[in-house]
Amino acid sequence: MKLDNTEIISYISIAVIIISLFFIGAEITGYAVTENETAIVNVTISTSAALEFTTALLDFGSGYVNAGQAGATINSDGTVTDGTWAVQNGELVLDNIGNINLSLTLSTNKTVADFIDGLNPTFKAKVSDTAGNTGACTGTQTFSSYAEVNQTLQTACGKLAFGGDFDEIDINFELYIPNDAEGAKTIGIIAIGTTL
Amino acid sequence: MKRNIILGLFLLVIIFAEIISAGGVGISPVYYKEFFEPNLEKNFTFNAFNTKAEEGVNIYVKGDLADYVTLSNAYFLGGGEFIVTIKLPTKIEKPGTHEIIIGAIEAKSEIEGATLGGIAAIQGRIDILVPYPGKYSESTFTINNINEGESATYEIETENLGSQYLDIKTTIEVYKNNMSEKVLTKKLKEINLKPKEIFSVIETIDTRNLPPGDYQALAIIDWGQIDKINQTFRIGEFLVEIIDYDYQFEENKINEFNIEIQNKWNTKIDKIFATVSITDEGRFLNSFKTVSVDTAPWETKNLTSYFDTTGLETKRYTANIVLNYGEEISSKLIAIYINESPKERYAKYIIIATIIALSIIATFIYLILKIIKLRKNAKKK
Repeated sequence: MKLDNTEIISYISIAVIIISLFFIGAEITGYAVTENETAIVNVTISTSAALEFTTALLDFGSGYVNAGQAGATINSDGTVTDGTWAVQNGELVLDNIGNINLSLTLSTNKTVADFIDGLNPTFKAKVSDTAGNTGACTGTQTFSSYAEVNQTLQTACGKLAFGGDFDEIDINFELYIPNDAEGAKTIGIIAIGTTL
Repeated sequence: MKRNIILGLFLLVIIFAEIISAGGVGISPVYYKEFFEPNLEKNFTFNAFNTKAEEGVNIYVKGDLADYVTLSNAYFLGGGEFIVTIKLPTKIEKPGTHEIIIGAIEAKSEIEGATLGGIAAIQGRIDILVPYPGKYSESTFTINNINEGESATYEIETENLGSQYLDIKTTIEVYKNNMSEKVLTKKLKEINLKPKEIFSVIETIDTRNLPPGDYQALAIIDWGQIDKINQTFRIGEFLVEIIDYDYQFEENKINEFNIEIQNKWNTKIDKIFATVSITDEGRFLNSFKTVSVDTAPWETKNLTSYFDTTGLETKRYTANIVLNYGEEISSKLIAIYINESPKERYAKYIIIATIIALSIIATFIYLILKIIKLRKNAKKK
């Protein structure tokens, strides 16, 4: 039987298709064929550093040094010595709300003399992990107990962790107010978080 | 009248809200790194924000290259994107990393409404790396805590900060018992780094057969000189351990019973609670349960319950503490003591002291009377 060119081409084409299907593995079943398909999605999460004072203000109220005393000491842990200030139990609370660990320094926006006035006032800070946030503040800790805080940057936490239950700290304060101090003053506590 | 009360309460809420008064700032991204090139001009994009949209953010620059930096914006209300443009000089003499600090600080001029207030600031960095003459490299190495049966993941980054090609050979060694016993060694493939090139690898080291405990990992990077970087890591086990507990209690009182526990697993374990049973020479007296707590990996936490000692004698008892976590339990048998209340103890001391004092006084009076009598007798004679 003689085949013309058109028939030869047709037979070759059919053979190519069948061989291709064999290698591809397609099945003609009459049913829709579905396969599990996976794809990889790359998500890059930018690092973001953020600090928030969840309690940003602390007020000791008004009072005066008891008569005959050189000065009064008050702190936010509930101690008042030689003064008439009401007992204060409170603190500033600072939270690392970013997604990266930070080093933390504390300083003030004015000198102690400008804040408290009088003869030899002192102003101290103490940093501790907020209840339930054990391990938030690690590394160098200048303020693990009451220590003077001033306009010089001092390391409060060599590492302030982020995330979940390890990212919050309490900052308490202690003031020594000489008997010749006067006036109502305020001070800003500058907390600087720097990427490690 | 009712309206005034409601208004008063509303104002009170505002006042207390002001005292609490949250405030914060953020910056993103936090870090860029760039190799120094003479007269390099480049822009870096940052975003800064105040957590309160109605408050401002001031932007600032610090560092020894601050003079070569300009900001597209130095203030935002709420937040926004800004461009940091650097125009470096022809030469920087000092080799190494020069940090340009980009900071965002809450725009607060004065603290109002309280004695002191917090001002939050956050700082990101642009590191400019000035190559060292000749051969020089710096590396970082970190390794993760894991659980028993897992391989530890580590990350090494080595930078060629010199002006010559470097052949880098890296070995990781794992020790236990404070570097006294080597348990694993892994040699990485030798690589060749051209100047300014960074080699970074995140891989695992096969620690699957190591038992739980604390380990030290040492990365030794040989680039002509040897750099050694030491890190510690822990292999955890699915265990919650009792590390401390109360054992002295007051009689006829509801006492707090505290149990300190530690999660020894590198994953959180939730719903941990303890049941405490009190016995006296095998005879069951009382039992109680603590509240349940959730713990983060390696976290130490306190379980609290209450022990009523009403009707119990002051003496030594036995307590069995059974910890429940997941499907596991662990237990500890301890001795506890019920002591007299301080009031009773002091009352006893006072009675004893009074008796002694009265005895001394009585003896003293007797002796005085005896002496008087003897003297009288002596005079009569």
